[in-house]
Amino acid sequence: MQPDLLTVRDLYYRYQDGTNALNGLNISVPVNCRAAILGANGAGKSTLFLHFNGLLRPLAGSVYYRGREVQYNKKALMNLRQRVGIVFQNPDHQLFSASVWQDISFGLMNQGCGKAEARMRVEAVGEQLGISELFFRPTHFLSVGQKKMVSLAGVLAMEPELIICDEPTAGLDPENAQLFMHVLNQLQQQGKTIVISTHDVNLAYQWADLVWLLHRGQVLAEGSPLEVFDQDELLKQAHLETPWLLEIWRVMEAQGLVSADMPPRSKAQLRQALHE
Amino acid sequence: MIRIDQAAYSSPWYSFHPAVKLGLVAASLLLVLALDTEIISISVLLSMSLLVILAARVSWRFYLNLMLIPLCFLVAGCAAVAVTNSIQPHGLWPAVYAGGLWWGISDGSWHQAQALMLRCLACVSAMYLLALTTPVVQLVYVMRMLKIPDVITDLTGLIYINIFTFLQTAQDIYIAQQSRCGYRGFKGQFSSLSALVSNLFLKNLHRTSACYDGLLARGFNGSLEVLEEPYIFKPVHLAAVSIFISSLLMIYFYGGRYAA
Ligand SMILES: Nc1ncnc2c1ncn2[C@@H]1O[C@H](COP(=O)(O)OP(=O)(O)O)[C@@H](O)[C@H]1O
Ligand SMILES: [Mg+2]
Repeated sequence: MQPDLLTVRDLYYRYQDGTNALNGLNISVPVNCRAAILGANGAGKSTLFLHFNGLLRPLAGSVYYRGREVQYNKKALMNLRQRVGIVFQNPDHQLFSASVWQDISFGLMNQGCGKAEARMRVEAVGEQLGISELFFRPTHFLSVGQKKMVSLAGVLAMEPELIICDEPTAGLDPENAQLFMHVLNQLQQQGKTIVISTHDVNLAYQWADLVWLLHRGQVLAEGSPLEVFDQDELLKQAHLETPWLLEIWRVMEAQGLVSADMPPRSKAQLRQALHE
Repeated sequence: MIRIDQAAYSSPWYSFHPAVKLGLVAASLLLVLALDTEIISISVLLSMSLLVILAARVSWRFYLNLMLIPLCFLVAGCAAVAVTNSIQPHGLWPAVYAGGLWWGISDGSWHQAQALMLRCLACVSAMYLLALTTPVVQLVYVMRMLKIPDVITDLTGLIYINIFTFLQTAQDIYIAQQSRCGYRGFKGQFSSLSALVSNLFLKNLHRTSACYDGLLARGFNGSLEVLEEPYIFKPVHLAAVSIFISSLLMIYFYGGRYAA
């Protein structure tokens, strides 16, 4: 059997000021899935992500990529970071160049990609994400949505297998948020594995195949969205709510309006169920 | 500063090869400073201003505003040069007697001030032509071409992009302070300002470490290697610059004679 793409086992991490951000965390992300790490602010999502490509080294426990334990020497890390791309929450922390074109090419040049090849890949990524017309615009005058896309492009150009997005929809308007998630879906269909972090229960419920519920650096629940969001007590403990689709469904179920089949995962499914 | 930057990005000269643009400006500066004649200064000032407005399509109002900034300093500086003293009032205007000497403007000092003023304005206009058509990214590119060490070119790029977030952060903090009644009274002015400065520093420190993570995540290994933007190099541009510089030299050798 193929091992999971990324696994963390009994992960502990403590910041220098003594904050215990991760407390024995276990997660395993299968190949080509859409995974959501769900947790309130301060649950440890960003800290966990920094372990996924070796930016932080665990205090205890270990990280496995394709079943192999991650090594922390320079060469192994370079290799890992090419396969695991992170799109940070704040694009201003990621875009270092004033030129969109240059910023997208950065990871490629670090991989030792030739100039002609790099140019081709930058252009291809621009095409794919629909940001070709931004190439020669300065990064500091882009909108947040555009900055976010450019950050993703800079990661995507490196052709990673696993794409990690920290709070992908934070700070985006609904339209841009939807566009960004749509792009992530496309990438997943092309064979990439996608992991996002979010505190948005509705997003996690509607988008993800697998959900991990995080609280104080520990996993409270894991499984499909239906399994995880069924556990009201745990959700409450993690300071989160039930997704509105599920809430409405339960009310209707209680009143006998719908036959207890599968709860809907999207607005469209809800509408269809109501028609029937 | 933000408007200059925006002008550079929307300039019709944006995609011209930065080395040619820098060459034009550097050669003009060099001639103004080395030849040091009024006619060259005037030629450069006029041609640069025309280029900025007609070729680079900067609105003349904006350009005039930009020129006014250094003009204030220049007037003050040149006034100091224009005023001279002598032991007798002859040839001075308005001859004022103070401290055992006669003070005023003489023919010689007036010319000196005038030449200085023109020279400075010519240099400023040349620099504006560069600033209004060439974003910092392109200047960094030329610096790399000239084999200036990576440390300096990388830092230039990073500082430049950070200026914008720095300004934004400062503004955010300032507004947040004001909305909670900061900057009230004499003491409040100082305490609010010092809080702003120290927080700006802390926030930037935090930001810097986050940015460093961002670089590492994409395989940063000590130098910021990027793919340069494809610039258009047209021999015509180079020819135009050469013709421009030769004409300046011609003006110096032939025109200068009559002006003297
Ligand atoms: N650089 C840091 N230094 C000290 N503590 C930190 C640092 N970054 C995060 N923390 C703490 O670690 C915990 C987890 O933070 P984080 O991973 O950012 O959570 P999330 O991304 O889920 O909001 C929080 O209690 C936070 O205050
Ligand atoms: Mg976070």
